[in-house]
Amino acid sequence: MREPGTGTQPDRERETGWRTDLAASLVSMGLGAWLFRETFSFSVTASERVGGGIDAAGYPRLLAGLTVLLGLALAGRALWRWRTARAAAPPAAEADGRGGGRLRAALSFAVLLLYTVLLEPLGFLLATPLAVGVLLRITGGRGAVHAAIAAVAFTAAIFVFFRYGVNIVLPEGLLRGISP
Amino acid sequence: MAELGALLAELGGLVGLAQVGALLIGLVLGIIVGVLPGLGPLLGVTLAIPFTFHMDPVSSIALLIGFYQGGSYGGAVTATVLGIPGTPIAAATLLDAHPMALAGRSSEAVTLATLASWIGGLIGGTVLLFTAPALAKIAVRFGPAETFALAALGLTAIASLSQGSTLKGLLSGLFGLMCATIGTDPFTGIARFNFDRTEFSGGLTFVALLVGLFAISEVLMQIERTMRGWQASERIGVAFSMFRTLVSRFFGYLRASLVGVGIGIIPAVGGVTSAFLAYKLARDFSKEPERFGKGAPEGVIASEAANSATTGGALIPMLALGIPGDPIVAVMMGGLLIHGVTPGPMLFFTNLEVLNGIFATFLIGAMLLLPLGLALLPLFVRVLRVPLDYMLAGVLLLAIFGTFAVQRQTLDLWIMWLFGVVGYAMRKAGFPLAPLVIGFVLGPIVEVSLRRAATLASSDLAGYFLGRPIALGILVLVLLALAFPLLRVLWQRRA
Repeated sequence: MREPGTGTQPDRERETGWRTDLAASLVSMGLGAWLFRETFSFSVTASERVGGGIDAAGYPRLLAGLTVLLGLALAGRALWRWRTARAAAPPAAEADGRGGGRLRAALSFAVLLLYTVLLEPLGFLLATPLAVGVLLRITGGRGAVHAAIAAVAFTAAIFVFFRYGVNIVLPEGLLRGISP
Repeated sequence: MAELGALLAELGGLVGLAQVGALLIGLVLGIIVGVLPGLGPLLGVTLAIPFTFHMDPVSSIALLIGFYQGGSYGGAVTATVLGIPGTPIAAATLLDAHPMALAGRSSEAVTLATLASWIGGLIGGTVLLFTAPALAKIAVRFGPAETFALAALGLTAIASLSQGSTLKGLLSGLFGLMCATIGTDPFTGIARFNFDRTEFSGGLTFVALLVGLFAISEVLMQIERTMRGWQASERIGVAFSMFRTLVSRFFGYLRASLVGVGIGIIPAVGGVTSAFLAYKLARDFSKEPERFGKGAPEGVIASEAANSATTGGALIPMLALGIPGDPIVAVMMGGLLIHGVTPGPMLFFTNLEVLNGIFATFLIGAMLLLPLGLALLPLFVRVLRVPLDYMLAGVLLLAIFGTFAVQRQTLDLWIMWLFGVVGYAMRKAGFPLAPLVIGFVLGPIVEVSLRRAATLASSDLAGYFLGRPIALGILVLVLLALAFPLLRVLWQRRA
């Protein structure tokens, strides 16, 4: 039995497809290569080059190099799996029926990004009920009135907790000087 | 025994009202996040981290320990009532607790689980109290080579033994190490990967990375799944008759707790393994093994005592060696680092007050789990009626404003969202998240010790390590940890 990363979810115990692994390997190699190149822009002076090359630039360079190497190994494994998968019967298309779920997650994330943009200019007390209301509509399919009431209640609870519980002033935005 | 009593009294004197208050809050909220399916102690500890900034070190670790102990127990309530584990570590508890509930013995099952968690926590805490100082006495002689080797072992063990493929685990750990290099070089002060922004000179904000990686990605995964509510209508109370098992099944409690604490010390293995191993041992030792899986009280005792004792065991390498063995402990270690307290052998000499505070709060938390768990049982069962979308909205708001509150800058929120997406993508691609966070926490230790060793070694780093038998021995373990998945496959093929 393996230790999960987080929460109760099974955390992808199943094997991912070779395409996913190949994409992940390309991302790893790209990231490693970019970071490797970036380390040459560090201004390490000659007197700071100690430790047989494992210095301020050498250490991250070592990590970046290892990332590229492991990315290559992952790519090799993905291609090996592609070859063996091709030799076996063609796999059925992955039909996890999560199209709606993905859209819901993407929409929710877009709302959260927009909320982050609007948080400072609008302020916590105006932006939060709007964002929470929309989120509840998306995630729980709540009616408009139900979502609005819940959103206001959530906003009030969080505001009281942060403002009076832990004494943290949340962004005031348009209500600067008016908000409690 | 008298010495232990005196020691406990001394430790108790180190903890004031504020620390006990933080511990109580942590325990109650920890049980709640443990009860709620989809959350768990890791998310609880993660969400609690931002609030520890405004506390003294002992109060903050008391809050986190409360979340850890409470969260580890809470899943048993859900496993019993709903037949799904509230947390993965409660999966073994489910095997017998839910059949007991189906037979109308919910109160007995939950009372047993609470008793077992209580005993497991106490035994785990006692072993922690005596083992960690002994280990630290050995570790204090370690130089940079040994420190580097230990950190490498912690990282490779979690990458190799934890979820998914070893390659992906190692890549995840490397990514964490790379993230830790962002900011100012610890030796020369040179700016590295700071994207020409002064905000990054201190490195990535730990809280933003952590909350994004664990909380935001988890919420996105939950939103993506089919939304469903939980129904828990059964009334549950305390079955006092189960207290008799403390005598009649004493060895069952003890055996499972010792298994739990032993497994807890090993990096990356953790509560799920210890619970199942203790469960298997209980069945093997039972005169009626056929009752297991059909509502055997010994099964509940074994699983819960083991997973609770694991929490004490898992703290031993973190406190004595500065190496976190699992992601929850890594987050707790990050919480200590925020306060300038560096876990490791030197903690036993430089910061005794905090160290004893940790021991004391752990033991007090373990003691409080029983009265608290039983007294508030109806509340915890009622928590299961909270609609999932409300729960997610609450988690999101706490994540956003907990992260914002640390430095009061929106940049941290963007970092949080970025790592939320990274965490989501990693989960989808089968990359474990734990090595990343452990790599990030261990990053500065790995870098500083490796560069010190390299400086001391001059041009012969390999020769330097070869001349240090302890470091060499630990590096052999690193190689074994890396080879373990391959050996396992070969073993399975041969079998």
